[in-house]
Amino acid sequence: MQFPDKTAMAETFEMMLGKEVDIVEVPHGVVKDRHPKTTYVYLNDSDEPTILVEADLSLAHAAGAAMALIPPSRASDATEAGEPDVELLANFKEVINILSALLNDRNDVHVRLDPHETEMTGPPPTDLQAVFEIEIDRYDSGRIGFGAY
Amino acid sequence: MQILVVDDSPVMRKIVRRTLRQAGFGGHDVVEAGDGVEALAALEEDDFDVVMSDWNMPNMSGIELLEEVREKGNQVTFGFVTSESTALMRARATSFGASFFITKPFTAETFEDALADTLD
Ligand SMILES: [Mg+2]
Repeated sequence: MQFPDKTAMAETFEMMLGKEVDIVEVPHGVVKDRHPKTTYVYLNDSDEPTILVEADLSLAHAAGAAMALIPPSRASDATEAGEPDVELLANFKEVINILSALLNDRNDVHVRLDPHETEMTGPPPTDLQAVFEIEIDRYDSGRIGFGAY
Repeated sequence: MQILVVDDSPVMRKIVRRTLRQAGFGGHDVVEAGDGVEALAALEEDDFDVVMSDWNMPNMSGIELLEEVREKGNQVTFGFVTSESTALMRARATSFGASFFITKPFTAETFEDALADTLD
């Protein structure tokens, strides 16, 4: 399975956020603040789980706020309280949805975001194979990673 | 000029609006619809120069909307802005006279290229 590179990730986040982001790839990285609400699964055309995406709650909140010009404080307050913000996470899910296009560009298998809430509470079903640390100007930073099932 | 932006995600509609501005089309009126049903209602009410529609939406998808629009004899310039794009989807869109197929993630340049002939 091929995962998006740093450049493609930056382009996607910049398009969605309308501002520049700093991205570094973290070799053998893990996300730091995995949350059931920021765990996503892409399905193949037979509806089988194919790719796992995990994101730090901080990144999901920050990106979800920046996209809609919502103040950074709302995102960081929600993260500090460990309280998922429904609206910010819905915005962030659009980013996750669009990342499927990057995966489909690079692989023969066709995937789409599981339309159901995944809410993965147990241990991750697979290790992450590509992890990025993303910094958004004026907002919190955080990690996002991909793993193949 | 009037543009109808159809997407079930409010934040995506915002992003499309912002990208229209960045592409130099900020002077046009933008109307938003959250699915195909809302878009049809807007199209009955008003004349639009361009419809930019998402593909996957509840109630009525983008391609169902385009079919319905053409069935009503409306030849408005219609294009898709979608994260899903297969050869089959493109072929279906073209068969109903879609003018452009923009895939997310897009840039302001993508919008310029797709809309230059219709808007100025
Ligand atoms: Mg949609």
